[in-house]
This record gives sequence, structure tokens and C-alpha cells, in this order.
Amino acid sequence: MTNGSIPERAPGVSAADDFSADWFADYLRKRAGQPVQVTEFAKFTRGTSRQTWFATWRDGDGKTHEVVLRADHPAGAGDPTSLDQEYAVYERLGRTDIPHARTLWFENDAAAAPRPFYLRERVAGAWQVPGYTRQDEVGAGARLAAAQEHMRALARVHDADWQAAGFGDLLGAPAGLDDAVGHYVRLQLGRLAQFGGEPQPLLCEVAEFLLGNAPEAARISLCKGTNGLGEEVFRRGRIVAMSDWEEVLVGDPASDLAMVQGFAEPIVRGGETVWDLERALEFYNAHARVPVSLGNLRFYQLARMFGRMVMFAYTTTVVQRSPRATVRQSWTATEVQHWVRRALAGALGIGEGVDPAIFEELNMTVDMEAG
Amino acid sequence: MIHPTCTEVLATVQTAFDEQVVPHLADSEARSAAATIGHLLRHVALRIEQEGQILSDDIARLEALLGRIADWFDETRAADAQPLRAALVPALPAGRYPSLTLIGERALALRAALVAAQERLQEAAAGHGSEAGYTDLRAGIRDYIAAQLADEARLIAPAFQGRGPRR
Repeated sequence: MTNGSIPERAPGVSAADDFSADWFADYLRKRAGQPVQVTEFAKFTRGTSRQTWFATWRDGDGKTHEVVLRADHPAGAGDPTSLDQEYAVYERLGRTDIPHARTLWFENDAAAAPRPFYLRERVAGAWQVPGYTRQDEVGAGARLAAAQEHMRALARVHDADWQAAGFGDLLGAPAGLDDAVGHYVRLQLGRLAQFGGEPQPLLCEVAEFLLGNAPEAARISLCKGTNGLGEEVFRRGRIVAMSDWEEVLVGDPASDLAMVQGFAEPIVRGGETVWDLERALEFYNAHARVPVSLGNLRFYQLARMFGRMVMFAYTTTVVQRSPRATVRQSWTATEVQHWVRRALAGALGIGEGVDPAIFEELNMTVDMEAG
Repeated sequence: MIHPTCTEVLATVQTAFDEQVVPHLADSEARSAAATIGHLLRHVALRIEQEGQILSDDIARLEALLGRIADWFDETRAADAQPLRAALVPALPAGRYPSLTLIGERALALRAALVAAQERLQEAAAGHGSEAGYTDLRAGIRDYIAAQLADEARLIAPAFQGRGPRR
């Protein structure tokens, strides 16, 4: 295990060697020493950074197990952190009161699986929020309740004792409150140098801006990274598991509030705006032990985009080095990367910027259209 | 062979894919991948048509900008101009077809030289930050980035924007 390690190049595998229900049944049979019945092995199509399967099996005693299998794409993950780091993050979450799916085991035996994977328990629930897309009062109520629940959950993440849980040892941490931005920029540039991303003059300009305008953090916390709609598991209106920790770090909690998806958008009820980014922050501050300032939040909207650019630069290297990179990774390395570059440049007054509506377009899926 | 061109062949691939393959996909993962493929086919078609000229323009802009930075380094002795001068030596071999790979590598080498020059310029800010020559160069770098993104947009926006779910 290494801190924020860059994964090795994944060995080439044939399509026949990929994860499947038959492989999983055989794997479990060998591990348990008795036959098992796999009743579900379904790929989750929404994720981009890694592959996810939902699996269900019945063991020899008739007990049903529901799990999530996580593995890198055949050509490698879409982000420059390793699968073993993700597993270690989930393992450490078990030392906190943050809702999460409990890890089961990590499999690193090349003879046993197409590539390394780990299993975690599958928490009953869904990323979708019932009623979220309705354009009526019911929809507004659903969005507001989910957004408030998410702010409470973020406060819980930030209030967690990250040092006691071992996140500092795993991820590294800023030297102090005035080093949160410096630590973040060093982390990202270190990764970029390590995986050999394309030279990008824009990144150089942004790094200078971030370091030259760095605000002090109000505290140093565990920060989830990607968060909000599509990233957490809801059940009956409550967040029962927080997922997608690929961009986790120890730093300024403002960085999480800067990248909330779907739960900081304006909500209007009875003609009155009852929720927006500022109200979301106010709600969060009423629940977190240490408040976050709007200034820091705004700053990290830029800083996190900088981190995204480093991530996409990594995805580009994955596509570059293997024809087994996914078509989704090709898309990320082309269109998604372009809009994020444009947004970042626009924030610095370079170029035309970008219409924020494009990011809603990027989030659309064929299933949403069909629904 | 001149005709059908790559663009013409690709157009038939796109049509066949959209009309004969996509409607028959029932599986959610396959439909998601097909959506992404449809967008990327349009993107590739644009790149076939435009990328060569875009990279040539990019190289010309980079050479002009790096030349200005090297002159300023020499003039102010703020940094060593030699690495920039070395990067500016034409690298495309005479008499060889300037394939996209070759001119792409040339553009990347020049961008790497620009990033190194940016770092030297940023270090020189304390001593030269208020000088017109310095601020002109920094503005020139921002203009270069804006132009590069505008070029990139020509390969992205028409292929993806407003054309449906990506995945």
C-alpha cells in the first residue's frame, strides 16, 4: 500500500478473461470450498473512474449475500489513485461514524481473477432521489429534503476524526491551516509528474493563481471529493452510504462544498427561493462543528477543477497506452476534458469560458432519456 | 486511392451505426456505449478534416511566443534562454511527410518548452513583475491558451454539444 499510489499498468486481458457471473461463481466456490449460486451479476453503467458490478449469491447454507465488486477498467482506472487506496479508504471509514458500505476483502491473486478487485457490502438503497426531477412542489420538496440530508452527511464527514481513523497516514495531510491549498496543489502536480501527463500551459497558470491567492482553512478535515446526487446511496430519504471516494483528501472542507452535485442548485417553493448555494452553506454551517466561509468555497470551486484536469490528464494516458481503454474513457479525455479546461480558463479570464448548462448535458444518460 | 476519403467512409459508418445497429440494442450498457461511440465518431470526423491545420497553427503560435520569451530572457538575463532556443530548432525532418503524429509531437515538445518557460517567468515575477516586457509576455501566454482552447472547441462543440446523452 502506498499513499496516493499510481496504479501499475494493467496487464492485457482478453475479453473472455473478464469478470462474469460464471467466473464469480467459480471464484466463490473455490474460496468457500462449497458450491454457491450466483443469482445476479450486473454491471453498473453509470460510473466512469472504475468498474462496478452488483452481485448476489446464495451460499451452501442458503444464506443470501449482496455485494458490490470494484475493479479497475482493463486498461486502468480513470483517475490516478489506486484501487488499493480506495479499499483502504473504505476500510478506514469503518473506524468512523460516516455511513458507508463495509469492505469484505481485497483479491490480488492474478490466478484467481482477471485483475485485482475488492468486495464491499451492498447497502440497500439507490443513488436516485424519488421525485427529484419533478417540476412541481412535490419535486421541490424532494430536492430540498435530499439536499439538507446531504449537507448533514457532509458535516459528518468533516467532523470525523481523520487522524484517529488513519487517513493522514494513507493520504498525507497539509502541514497546517495555511498549507491546505499548497498541499493540494503539490499533490496534484506530483501526480501529474508521476504519470507523465501532457504539458499544459493552462495548468501552470492555474497553479500559480491558486498558490498566490490561497486562503487559510478554518480547519483540516477528511474531504470526500466527488459528492452529491449520483454519488451517495439514499434509502427512505436518508443517506445510508457515501460512495465514490476516488477524490478523497485531507484538507479544507470547503473543497467538498465546492463540488456538491445537484444539491446546491436553487429550489423555488411557492415562488420563493428556499435553497441555493449560500443557503446550503448556511445549513451546513449549522450542523458542522466548524463553519466554512463562502470565500473558501468559491476558491475551491477553482481548485477542484484544477484537480479534475489532472485526473483527466491521467485518463488521457490510459487511452493513449491501451486499446482496451473504454470508449467512456476516450470521451472523458476528449469532450469532458475540454469543457473543464474551458471553465477553468474562463475563471481566470482566459478565453470565452463556458455555459454551465453544458455540465448538465454531460451528466445525462440514455437511461435518463428513456425514463 | 483518393476517393472515398476517410471522411466519406466514416460518414457511411456513422449512418450504418445510427440506423442499423443502435435501434437494435436492448441492453442498457450497450446503448450507453453506443451513445458515446456516436459522439466520438463525429469528433473523429472533425479531427480528420481539421486537426492538421489546427496543429500547424498551434506550432506557429508557440514558435512566435517562445521566440519572444527567449529574447526577453536574453535581454533581462532573468533566465537562461538556451533551452528555449534549442526547442525552437525545427524538428520535422525535411522530405518526410509531416504526419499528424509528427506534428503532434512537435506541438507537444513546444508546449513542454512553454511550461518550462512559464515556470521561469513565474520565478522572475518578484524582480520583473511590474515591467511592461514581463506583463506583455504573460498576456501573450494567456492569449496563446485562449487560442488553443478556441481551436480545440472547433473539434468538440459541433460533435457533442446539444446532440443528446453521452453515455
